[in-house]
Amino acid sequence: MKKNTRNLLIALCVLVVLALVFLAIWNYARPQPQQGSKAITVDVVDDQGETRHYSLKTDEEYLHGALNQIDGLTLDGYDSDYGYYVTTVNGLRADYTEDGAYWSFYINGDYCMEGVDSQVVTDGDAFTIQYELAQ
Amino acid sequence: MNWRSKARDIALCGVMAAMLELGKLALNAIANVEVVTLLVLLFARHFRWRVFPAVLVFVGLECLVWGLGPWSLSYLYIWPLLAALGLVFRKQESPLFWAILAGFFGLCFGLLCAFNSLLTGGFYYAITWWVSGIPYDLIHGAANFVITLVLWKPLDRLLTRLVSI
Repeated sequence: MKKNTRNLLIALCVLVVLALVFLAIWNYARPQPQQGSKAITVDVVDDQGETRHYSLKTDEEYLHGALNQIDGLTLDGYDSDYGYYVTTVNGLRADYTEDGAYWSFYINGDYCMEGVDSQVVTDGDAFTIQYELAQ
Repeated sequence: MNWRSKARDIALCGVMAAMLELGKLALNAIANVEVVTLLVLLFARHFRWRVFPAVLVFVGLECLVWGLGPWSLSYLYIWPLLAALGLVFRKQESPLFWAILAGFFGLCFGLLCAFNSLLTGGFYYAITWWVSGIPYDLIHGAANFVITLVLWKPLDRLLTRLVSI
């Protein structure tokens, strides 16, 4: 086997191993869903800066399911490659293509790293859904 | 350098930037599948330093299309870094070599972006941000590998022919 070919095969093996290491890190470090009842709060901040507060006790493990259980809170959106994309909250549509508006999600004051489908819900979490404009 | 070759370089940069942006937009519907990596590597190999202004124009176009975001800063060092790698390894002929390089780049894309998050949100924020995006980086790396392996040879030949005209 030529030296160059051998080096390329070694590099290919390193690439595969690195991918497996990344997968293992993700599997170990990602938040695990919590079973049982959880009490959460959700604040919705609209385009005028007005806040509506909601409280909920839920057995749902992920945020999307929990939000769907809240009386008086309506969501609309579509399924994308990145999960469910929320476009409309309580009838207010955020259209990114029109004016750069979008709904951003916060958990306990920090920006959510996951979409609503994969954002884990734990007891005591305080979520904020905020209408924002791209800068 | 006379004005004619200067004009040609400027036009070339414009065409490369347009191709990068078109390539990006064409596959936008498929998450983390793109041809920008392949094109940047090819442009670096064939047009050398001219790839850098083209990449910067591409980043500017992306900001115009999507607005400014935390990713904008990342793009300013990620794509020029890829162009520099393409330039360093430009003498490599094997499509497998370029596919592996593109695969590494896609796999490490989130990690490279996380350096920006480190500055804006701190260590914990950057790590959390990177980990949550690992599934997308895996797709990005695999897609880059396959696309580059399949398309490298025909596009490389085409550019070799075009450059010699």
